[in-house]
Amino acid sequence: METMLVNVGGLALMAAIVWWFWLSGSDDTGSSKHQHHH
Amino acid sequence: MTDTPVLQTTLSISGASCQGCVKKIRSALEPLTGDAELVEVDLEKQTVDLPEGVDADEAARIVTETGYPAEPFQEDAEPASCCSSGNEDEADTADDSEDQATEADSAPTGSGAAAGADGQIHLSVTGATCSSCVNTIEKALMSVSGISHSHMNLADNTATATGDADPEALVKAIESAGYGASVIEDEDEADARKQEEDRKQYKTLLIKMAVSLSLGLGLMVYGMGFDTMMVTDANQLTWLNLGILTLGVMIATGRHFYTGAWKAFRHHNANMDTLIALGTGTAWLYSIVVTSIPGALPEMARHVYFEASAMIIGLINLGQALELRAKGKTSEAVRRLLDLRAKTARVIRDGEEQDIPVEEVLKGDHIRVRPGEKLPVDGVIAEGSTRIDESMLTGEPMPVSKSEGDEVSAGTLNTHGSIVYEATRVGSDTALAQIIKLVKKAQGSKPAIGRLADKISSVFVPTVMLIAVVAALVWYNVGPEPAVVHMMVAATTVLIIACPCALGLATPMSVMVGVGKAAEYGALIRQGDALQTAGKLDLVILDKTGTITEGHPAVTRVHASDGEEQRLLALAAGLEQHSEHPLAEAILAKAKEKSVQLEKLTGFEALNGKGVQGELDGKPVRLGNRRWLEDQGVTLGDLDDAAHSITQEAGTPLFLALGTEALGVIGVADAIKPDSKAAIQRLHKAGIKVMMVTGDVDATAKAIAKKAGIDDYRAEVLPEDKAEVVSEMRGKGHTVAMVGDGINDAPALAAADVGFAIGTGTDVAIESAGITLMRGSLHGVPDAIEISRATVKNIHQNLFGAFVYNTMGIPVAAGLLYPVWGILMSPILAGAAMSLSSVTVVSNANRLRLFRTSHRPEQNDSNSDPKQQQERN
Repeated sequence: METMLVNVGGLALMAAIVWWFWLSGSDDTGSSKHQHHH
Repeated sequence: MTDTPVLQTTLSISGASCQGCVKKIRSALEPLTGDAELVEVDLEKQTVDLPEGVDADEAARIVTETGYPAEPFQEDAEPASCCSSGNEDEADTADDSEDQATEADSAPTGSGAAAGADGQIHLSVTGATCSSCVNTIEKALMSVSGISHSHMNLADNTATATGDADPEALVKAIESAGYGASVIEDEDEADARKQEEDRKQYKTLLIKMAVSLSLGLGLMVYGMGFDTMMVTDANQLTWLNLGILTLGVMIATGRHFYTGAWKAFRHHNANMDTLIALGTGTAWLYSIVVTSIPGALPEMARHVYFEASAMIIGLINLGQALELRAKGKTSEAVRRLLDLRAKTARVIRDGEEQDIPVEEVLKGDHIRVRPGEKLPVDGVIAEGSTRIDESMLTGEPMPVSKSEGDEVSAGTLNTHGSIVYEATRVGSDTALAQIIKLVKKAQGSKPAIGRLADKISSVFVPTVMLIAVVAALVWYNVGPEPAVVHMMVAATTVLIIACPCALGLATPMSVMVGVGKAAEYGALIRQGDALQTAGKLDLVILDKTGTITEGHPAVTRVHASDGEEQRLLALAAGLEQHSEHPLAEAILAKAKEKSVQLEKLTGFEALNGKGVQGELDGKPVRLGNRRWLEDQGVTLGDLDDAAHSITQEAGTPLFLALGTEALGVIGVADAIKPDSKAAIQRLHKAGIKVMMVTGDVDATAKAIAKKAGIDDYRAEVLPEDKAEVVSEMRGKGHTVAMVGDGINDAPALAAADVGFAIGTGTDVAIESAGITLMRGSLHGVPDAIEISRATVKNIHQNLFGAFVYNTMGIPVAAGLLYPVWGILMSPILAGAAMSLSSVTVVSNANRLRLFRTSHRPEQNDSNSDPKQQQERN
């Protein structure tokens, strides 16, 4: 049970890292969208 | 808008630069105006026209909130924003407002600081430590509307944003990304302030380092010597207290890491702070869990790591302090240039001499400079003559003679006589100010190799976080007991050792030192890219006149058919006294030297590409090239031998005829600069082929090429065709440098991989060239190439070191060596290694400061070292 919790937690953490830093980079998309006008 | 000013409400805005912006403003104002179509946005003038009766203040508030700082436009007031055409006659300003509208002052609410003439806003940034920080800051600046380009220089902690935006918005953007920023308004003040801040920060970092290291060491000694690092019932309370003390010290001495990490995290970024915060945080959190509820973990896993958290913070603070000090040294080149400036000037106003601060000197002022004084501004000598030491600008060791009408530059030293000169360029227009600006800009620019490093490190930190989690899971699942401890140690160590600060510093530090070093040798490198490319050159194309040669032709031979050389010169000089051609100057100088009485000729006429003609007693007198005179029916057969020997000596023959009778030939040659041959030999030694392009006839070109030791030449090349020669050679696979001095060389300079503008030259040549040589000597070319090679080598060493460190360090930290040798790195060691890597990179870059080029002038050595020259002054 504990092992499963740790492993699932670890995988969830990795997914969260990928999501937060790569997939939901709201800041960059905002600025790059703006740049396309120029 | 000025057509119907009474009927409309007008706002002056800034930052609107595209149709998307127009749409945004219109839709934002729709509720107020009732119809978006009634809102007129003029991008050129940066104004918004609204229908009559709309509350201007309310509209300004809405537009500002939309991201375009706005304020109600007042007809009679100075426009606060970038639009200059509002209060002037529109017709007058309409033409030039097109480009300037986006580049002019961008401070909408009178914040004083504004974009410079080049549309750039310079900011001083604090708290940036690694290449991830650079990415975060550049991204933050780009997110401000109106900014088209942003660049952060980690080596001197400045950021430049190009475009049209409120400087305060840029500061806010950087601050919300987790760093400190302020707008640089006055470069001097900013420099002084930065120095002061650096000193303070250095001290603070040392104190923080001392506090956290003492605690870490203390805990280690206590745990290992007097107690145990394992939590037991007996020492649980003690460790709990020590844990709380550690937290206090971590916050006091490492708060900047935690706040930085948090702010970056909020913006979906991760940087060096993230890794440190996570690493030390994990170690502390684990230890506090162990001390609070030891029963929750197996006995073997009840180990505390409070000392690791404290020591890591201490070591990283130490690394940053050392880095800060080394960074200060690298900008010495600029500081030395800044120190050249005089503080006061002795200005003659209303017949009275008065000392005034140099900032108050106006264009046109007459300034007296006595021997031993520095020249405060650029100008032209109006009275007196002197010798001026220009070594600080050109690297040329010998003082140069100057007299009335000669140009002089700010920052140079009057060594000899007293002069009065008229100020022609003051303030930021002086050559010295331009040089400082150029050097600073180049020091901050990134060569392609550096941009690659940045790209890699922006994905690096999140990747490291993933690796840390993977390592932790692997240890947990397949590692030996106590698995929880190993899991935590591996994750912490991976996070700590992977800090990419060394990677972030690798390129900018070397570029900064390299550009500064080149400036010491009188070579101004304009962009980092030129620095990188100059190291790869394999062909240098030289312009002849003014580059290989002096650029001042002189008479080398006078041959009269009848032996009457005095008369020949009298006639030739009599003709040429009306001409402004450089060849005419040479002939007149010779006539003066021989004390020849000039003949009086009438009807002077200059024929481009042929020669000059006039009349003497009704008979035509012609001086010019062979083809023209032969066309006029003159027989030149007798002069063939003389003409041949002139071309053999690399001279140009000018034939003189009275009517159809050939009187003689005059040889004019542009002497090769004394050090051109040696410089060309240095290029050969560096494995670079040298080629010359010239407009001269083949025989002359061949003779010059032979004399100067040039491999190949192209003769009779028109100025406009030089660029074609450059392109042709590039097409053959060469990496080509073009070296030239004049405006007519500009296209060729721009066409080359690296353009070298020689001499203080024209702005056009400097703008087209990647590198400007302040000295007239060709030695500047091999100097710049040698410095570039050394710098690129240094960058490679740094990048290699940083990459190797990170790629080797991470697997070791993750425990890859454990199955084989049982080695698991401690987080403390990782912290020390990380600090050491940045310090190593910075020190290696500083090693470049000791670099000397292979050029060793023959005169006495103390005179020839530009660095010593500058120090002496």
